Amino acid sequence: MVVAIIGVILVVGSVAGGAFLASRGTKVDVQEWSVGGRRFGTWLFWFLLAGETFTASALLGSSQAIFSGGAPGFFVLGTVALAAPVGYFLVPRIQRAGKVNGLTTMGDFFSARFNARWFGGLITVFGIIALLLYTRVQLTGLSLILETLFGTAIPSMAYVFAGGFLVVVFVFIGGMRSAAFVAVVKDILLVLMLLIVAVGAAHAAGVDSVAGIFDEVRNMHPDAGTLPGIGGHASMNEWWWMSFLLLTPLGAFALPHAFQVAYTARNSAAVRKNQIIQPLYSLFYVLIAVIALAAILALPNLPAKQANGSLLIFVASNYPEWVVGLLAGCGVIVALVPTAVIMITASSMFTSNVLGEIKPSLKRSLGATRVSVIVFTLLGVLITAFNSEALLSIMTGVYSAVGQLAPALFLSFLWRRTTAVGLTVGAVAGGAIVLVPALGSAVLTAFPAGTVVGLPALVINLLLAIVVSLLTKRPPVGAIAVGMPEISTAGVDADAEAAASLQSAKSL
Amino acid sequence: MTHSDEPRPQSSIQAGPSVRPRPRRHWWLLVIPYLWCIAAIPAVNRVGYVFGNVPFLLVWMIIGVIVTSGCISAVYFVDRRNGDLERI
Repeated sequence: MVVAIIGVILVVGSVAGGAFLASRGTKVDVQEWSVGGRRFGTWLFWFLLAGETFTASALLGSSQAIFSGGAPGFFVLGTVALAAPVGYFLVPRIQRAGKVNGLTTMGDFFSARFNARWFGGLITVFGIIALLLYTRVQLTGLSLILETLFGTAIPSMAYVFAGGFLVVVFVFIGGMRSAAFVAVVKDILLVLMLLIVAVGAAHAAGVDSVAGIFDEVRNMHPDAGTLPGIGGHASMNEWWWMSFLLLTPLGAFALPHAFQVAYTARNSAAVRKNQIIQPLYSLFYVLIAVIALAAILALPNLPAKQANGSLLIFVASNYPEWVVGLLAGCGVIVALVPTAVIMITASSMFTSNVLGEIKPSLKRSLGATRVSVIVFTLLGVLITAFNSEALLSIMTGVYSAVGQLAPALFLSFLWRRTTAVGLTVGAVAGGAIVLVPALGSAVLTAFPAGTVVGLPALVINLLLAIVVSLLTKRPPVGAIAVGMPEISTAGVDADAEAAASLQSAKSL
Repeated sequence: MTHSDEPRPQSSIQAGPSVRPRPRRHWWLLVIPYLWCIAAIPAVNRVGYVFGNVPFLLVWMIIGVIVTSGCISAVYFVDRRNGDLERI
């Protein structure tokens, strides 16, 4: 009972507080609602981007990975860190393109960059599917947390629906601004919680210090400290690690809500300064590692099926009620913020790039956007309720599939000659390799065991995108300028590119 | 190749189309995190444990996070000195 009361107070308090702070003195139109009026400076932007770092699924997924495998779970320290250098290069470009051309979605960008609205529409559909998969991951985490909070007497499907309902309410209140304000509360709370839990972890695991946790884990599982970890599955070997961490930073910015968040930034300097602090934030994953290792000791007989919730079960069975309540409440907010951002993204994209194409009067309609929020949340809920897997494998799957949009993203900013047709052919081929198991395993035979299928798929995707681009008509000059304004590095690139296209024209 | 004694424009955005922008060779620092967290892993994984029973991979990745932040801040401060923060 104490657990539920503390949890509910925490959630309602921070959501209401965030919405109140967000609503002060601003008129809400689509631009305000979906990209926060493009005014976020370093700090607010940091928290919003960090919201993407510390999601419920990332927390539960990484603790699950360490809990069930040991060392392979340490990869999570690399995902955030390696996304930052890419962000330093890429996010200012996205932000600039959005500001100069008045874009509010990822679809807007691709429509403008290639002067092809069908392409923006296609990216939108692909992106929304990816977002729904991603939502499923977040909602699965959210329902796990609610289950801990209110017990398993109620069917888990009810928790998924409750989670979806919370998201809709949250998004309706204030859009992107309230997400950003609640993100601040959420991160401070989360770090506090992790510190409290980590401090008590040694005691809960029955050893006398943090060093004792490491000693005991090695004693119990001598293979826990190196890849491929406990049990030694080939699917978690060094090749898995390297290919996964190579793919993740590319996929991270191909998710449509990365565009949405990039558009909220005030300027490039804010974005770039942000990338310095962003990796440091992931140091808090060390606390998760310590907690998850302690959980190995405290929960030796937990069935593999429940490994998803190992962090929650560990806390629920070893800590005082007020800690459980705080963690659960905190966990709900941690799931709400990113899911809200995803829903804002999916609905803005759908209204602007799909509905807007059919009926232009709806393109900038806040009402239509809000209705789409309900529809997409419901879709996310249904997908989650009727199909559940281990969190980590879903995450890997999403990143692999979404990673196939990476060539579209990077080539738009780097190569004038890129065409929409080329990128489409590449992404479809890459997506097919990732999603059709037969194709995937055929391609993987050429790579070392353990390689994540998204990586070879990406190579084929990129090659096809380049070849087909060279064979199709280049976009108009004005459209190219959306992604590659002014002269900038064009002097060098254009020459090399001309030579390259001559070369390939000859060889063809 | 840009000569070092060439007059440096405060901001390449305002430099105009006739001046080729100054190359940003310091951006190569951004490759280091990938070498650290990806390319080095097979060697790191061979070490096993340090400080008693702490997995070296965990220690290596923690340092990797700090190295990454360090590389980005070095690039950031050079860019800031050159007035390049808003340059795309």
